[in-house]
Amino acid sequence: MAATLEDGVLRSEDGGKSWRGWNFGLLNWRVNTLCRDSRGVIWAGAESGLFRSDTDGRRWQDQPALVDTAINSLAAMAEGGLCLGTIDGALRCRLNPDAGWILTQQWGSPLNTICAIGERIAVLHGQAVSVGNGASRFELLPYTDVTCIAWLDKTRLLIGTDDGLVHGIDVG
Amino acid sequence: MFDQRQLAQNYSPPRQQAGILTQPDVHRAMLRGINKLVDAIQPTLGPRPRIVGIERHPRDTSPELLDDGAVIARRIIELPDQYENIGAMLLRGMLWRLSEAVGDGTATAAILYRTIFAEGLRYAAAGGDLTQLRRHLEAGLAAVMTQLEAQVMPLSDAAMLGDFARSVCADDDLADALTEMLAFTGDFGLVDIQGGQARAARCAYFEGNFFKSGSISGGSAAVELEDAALLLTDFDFKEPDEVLPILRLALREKIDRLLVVALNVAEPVAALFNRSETSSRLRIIAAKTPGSTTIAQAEALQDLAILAGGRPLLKVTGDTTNTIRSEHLGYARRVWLDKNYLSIRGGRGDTERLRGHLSKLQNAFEAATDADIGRGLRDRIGRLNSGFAILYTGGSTTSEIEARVTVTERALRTIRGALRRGVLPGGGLALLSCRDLLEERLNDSKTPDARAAYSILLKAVGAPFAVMAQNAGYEAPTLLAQLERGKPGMTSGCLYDGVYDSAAAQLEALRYAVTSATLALTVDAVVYRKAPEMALRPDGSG
Repeated sequence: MAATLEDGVLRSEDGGKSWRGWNFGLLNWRVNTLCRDSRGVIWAGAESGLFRSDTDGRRWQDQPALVDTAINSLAAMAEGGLCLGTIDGALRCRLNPDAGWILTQQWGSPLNTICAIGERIAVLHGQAVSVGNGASRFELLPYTDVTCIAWLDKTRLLIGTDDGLVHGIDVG
Repeated sequence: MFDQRQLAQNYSPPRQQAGILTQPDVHRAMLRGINKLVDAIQPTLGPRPRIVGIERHPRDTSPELLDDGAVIARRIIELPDQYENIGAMLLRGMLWRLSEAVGDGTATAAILYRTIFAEGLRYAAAGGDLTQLRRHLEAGLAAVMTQLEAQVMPLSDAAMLGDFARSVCADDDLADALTEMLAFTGDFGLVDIQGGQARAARCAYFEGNFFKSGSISGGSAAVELEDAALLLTDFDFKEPDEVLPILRLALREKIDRLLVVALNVAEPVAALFNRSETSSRLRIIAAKTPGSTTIAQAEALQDLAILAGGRPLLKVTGDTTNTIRSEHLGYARRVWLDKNYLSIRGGRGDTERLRGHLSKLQNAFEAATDADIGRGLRDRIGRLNSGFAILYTGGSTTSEIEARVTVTERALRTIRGALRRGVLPGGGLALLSCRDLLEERLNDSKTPDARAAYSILLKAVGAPFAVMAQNAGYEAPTLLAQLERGKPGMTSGCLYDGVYDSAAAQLEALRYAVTSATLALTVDAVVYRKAPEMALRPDGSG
């Protein structure tokens, strides 16, 4: 599946040769990010709100708690938990499917990427990176001009920067 | 060959004599009429229903094959015996209202109605007070409804939805197609059911917001515009001069693809639209304003404006094309138009406004008591939700195709009702489970009227189960004995395993049957009027 800024969510069933829109129930087709949580629910973060699909992307349902939010990034956590990052720098987390959304942290720049592994969460806000334990106690790492991040394992994080370097660092 | 005049000459209307019928003949005649109607409907009840054939005119065409109690009742226009007819028509009206309200449960309601009416007559014949009986029946109804509501289960997962669909249509292929389709469309999605020669059911899905409209500027071939502006109006464009301000605005705003929605576009205007592509690279297509009434058109324009943004130009607000400004235009990622449908995808309207509009429509739908208004609101919610599905079903003969389309439409209505209001154990078991409560009430009753009412209800709640068992080829007493012994064959065997009924249909069937039958019991005399002869001739001649 692919999120697009004009055509909603596209889906390919032939290894990417052809793509078709799957947007039943999707009220906003400017989709920034997609994520499948540990329970198999697919989430779409859009310019206006969060949508969920319990039917493998066939149909989307609006999430009323987050209707006025422009969502930039999503990451699945353990036990059906989910984190989302907004264009105005807010990190909101829901620790399990029955819990409500909590504003966990607020940065001053758009939250472009969230990576979660176990309890660890790494966040790319603007071009800086912060790493947290659970959904709190975030620590800013001393890297600038960061463009992408990915966990290697629970203690090692890969950081890509716009000068072409990839830093593998231990944040254990 | 069919000869309309000959048919009119051979047609002999039922005997119509003016007069007054009094007791005990009224109740006896009504019961005979009710029995005739219920006998025609009851084969359709249960997890293994049977089909009822309805003769057509002329008689050399194949009969209509039905398994829907309400439609069967609707096809019985009049019984030949005018005295029996009054009972049948009272029941017929109730069944149709029930079907309009919840889509299913009519065969259950018919059997409940007959049992209550017949047992009520027995009590009346023994000198019972029917007014008091009615009061106690209604008290018993409230208790049974409460007990049933406590048993309602949500259709919580795909497996249960599949089981329920199979219970409703008794056709695995169709049930699978409906289950798959509902995974896309949900409760409100826009669905069209089309009959064809292929028996296997299959679904096709189309993304976008679909409106029943059609092209009025070009041929019948489908056209698609990408990144198009939309001008929404209820105008009837007759002269090219009227649309010149639109063209000027489009050129000024550097728009090169435009959809104009209008009531009509006269030929010279359509020609101007077609020429604009070669002269100014502005491609214009025109679609008919969706809706067949002024209100429906206004609603469709409102929905389109919410999806695509902009504001419709309306005659009622004094708009003309001379007042057009850029803020009147909406935009969409794609616009698609053929001779029957207009679809917009990726409308650039405000999502917050769309959410608010959907919420208002859903509240109105929940509050709607009129079936037609409810259907209209459901369609509007469906087309705003993005996505359209077509379910193709059919058979090898016209009768089979019609029957399958009817079954599919009813099944869809019922499943949607169940998605909103949940399900109850099927096969008559939910009603049967209320026997303990009624026996308790019967034992606690202190008056003969109350005892009679609870006895009647006790018989009534067991009647659908008995008919369903019989329709499935089982002996009802044997099956009941198995149930009472808790034998697994009853609940996990082939007949009742995974069988559910729509909660809305069961609850409403019970409510309609008890209230209507008790009302019918209080009919004491009937006045018959001689129908005018001209109204009876099928060719309309006097």
